Amino acid sequence: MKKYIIRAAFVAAFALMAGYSVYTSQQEKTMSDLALANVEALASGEETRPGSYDIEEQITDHYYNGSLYKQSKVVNCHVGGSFACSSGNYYRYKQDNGLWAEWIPA
Amino acid sequence: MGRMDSSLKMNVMLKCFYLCLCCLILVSCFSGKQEKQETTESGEVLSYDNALPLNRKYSDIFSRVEIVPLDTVDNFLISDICQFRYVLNRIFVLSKEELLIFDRQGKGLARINRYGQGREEYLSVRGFDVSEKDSTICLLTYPQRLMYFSLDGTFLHEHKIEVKGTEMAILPDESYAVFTDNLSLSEDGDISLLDIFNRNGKMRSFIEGYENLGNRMLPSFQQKRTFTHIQENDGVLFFHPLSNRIWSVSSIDSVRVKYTIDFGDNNPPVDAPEKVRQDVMLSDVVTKHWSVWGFNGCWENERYLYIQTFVDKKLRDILFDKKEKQLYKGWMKDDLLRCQKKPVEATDEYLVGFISTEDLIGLENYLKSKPDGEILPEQEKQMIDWAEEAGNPLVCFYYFK
Repeated sequence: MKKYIIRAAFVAAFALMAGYSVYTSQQEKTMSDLALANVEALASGEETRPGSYDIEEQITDHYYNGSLYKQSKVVNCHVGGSFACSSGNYYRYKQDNGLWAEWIPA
Repeated sequence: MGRMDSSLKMNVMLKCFYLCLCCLILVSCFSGKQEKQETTESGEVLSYDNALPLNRKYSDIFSRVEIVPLDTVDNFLISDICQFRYVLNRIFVLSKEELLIFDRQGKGLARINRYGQGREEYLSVRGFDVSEKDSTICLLTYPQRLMYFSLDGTFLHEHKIEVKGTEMAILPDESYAVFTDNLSLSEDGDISLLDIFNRNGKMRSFIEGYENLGNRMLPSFQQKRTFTHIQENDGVLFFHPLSNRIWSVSSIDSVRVKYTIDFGDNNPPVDAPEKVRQDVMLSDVVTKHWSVWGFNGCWENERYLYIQTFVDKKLRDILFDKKEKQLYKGWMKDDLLRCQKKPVEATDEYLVGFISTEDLIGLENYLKSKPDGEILPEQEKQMIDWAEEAGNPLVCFYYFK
């Protein structure tokens, strides 16, 4: 009797382990948006470039009388960091159809 | 027979051992997947879901608004306001690598610009604050130093500091707090967001940083600001773009969560889900993966706590009326100016903020693009005139009723 119990326990334990490993492998197949974004960045040919700056990003939504009409993005490079950086100011307007136009360098 | 018994016992024990081993492996597999959790206090919890719609207009809270145009003489031209303070009856503006000081009427008084590589010079100014006790200005610079000046811009003294930061605040006991902006100097990889130094040079770190964002500055939204001064002896409030918590900071021994805006399932994560590559914009990561973000515009006085933030990609005003003990959410219509301003700090008498040159010019262009035009209030017409002169930003004082 004891023998059967032990055998059953063994089988259950291995079944659990096998099930869990299948489950985790399936989880890994579903990449998060963030991982995908990282891969897309790689595919677009951009390379990680070391440098000597800290990068500051600031996004501002511009409103008039409660309605959003413009968005601006500022990239500032501060010396003393470890990244490559190109500073710039960009903006884009909301079109009549409600969609955003392309970013334009200021 | 006895030999067979001991062999059977041995066999059973061996099987038990294997069984235990399997269980151990299973347990370790599951425990390794536990998520990192932050165990901190919450302070006063304000439920966003239970907040009432914010139907108030600015004229319900403020009686009038006073606009102060800043001097536009050659030495006082401002490209962009990085940081701003109104204290000691003076207006302090950090713009690029210099600090400009104006009087209450907007007349330029002094200018501090020590950009250079020599002695008593800096390569960049990261932050500043003004001590009300001894009327001195303190600049947080790179290379990492604190440089002290008198109100007329005279250099007083400096000392090196072992922290990299992008904003600072002087506390009531003359210790100072530095927002590290997720930048770490230590090699062990530990990142804290707030470091406080007392007069004796003792340092303590608070608030865990974002390891998966990889030692990079946090993106900011609407304005780059993480401190706001409150009543004279109460120190400052600290907040940052990715957290729904607001801390009260008054000394090296007194840092506590004062408020938590609770968004339920949408509360911000304590770290990014995965490590982010260096060439992926952090602002893109945040706007894609966080449900709420951009806690950059906060002020508080005896009656109100206000914070501006993005909820479901829309900018929202959150106002806590302490007298009524009620939280409001929505959009507070500025029917006094109708122009977008950046609020900075409040007393019981007024709220002070500024309208950037970019917003003034944008407003002018926007109104010109309107085919039918609009009838503008006198004060707004005046603002457009200032914009046409391509002047400096405007400072505005909203007086509480």
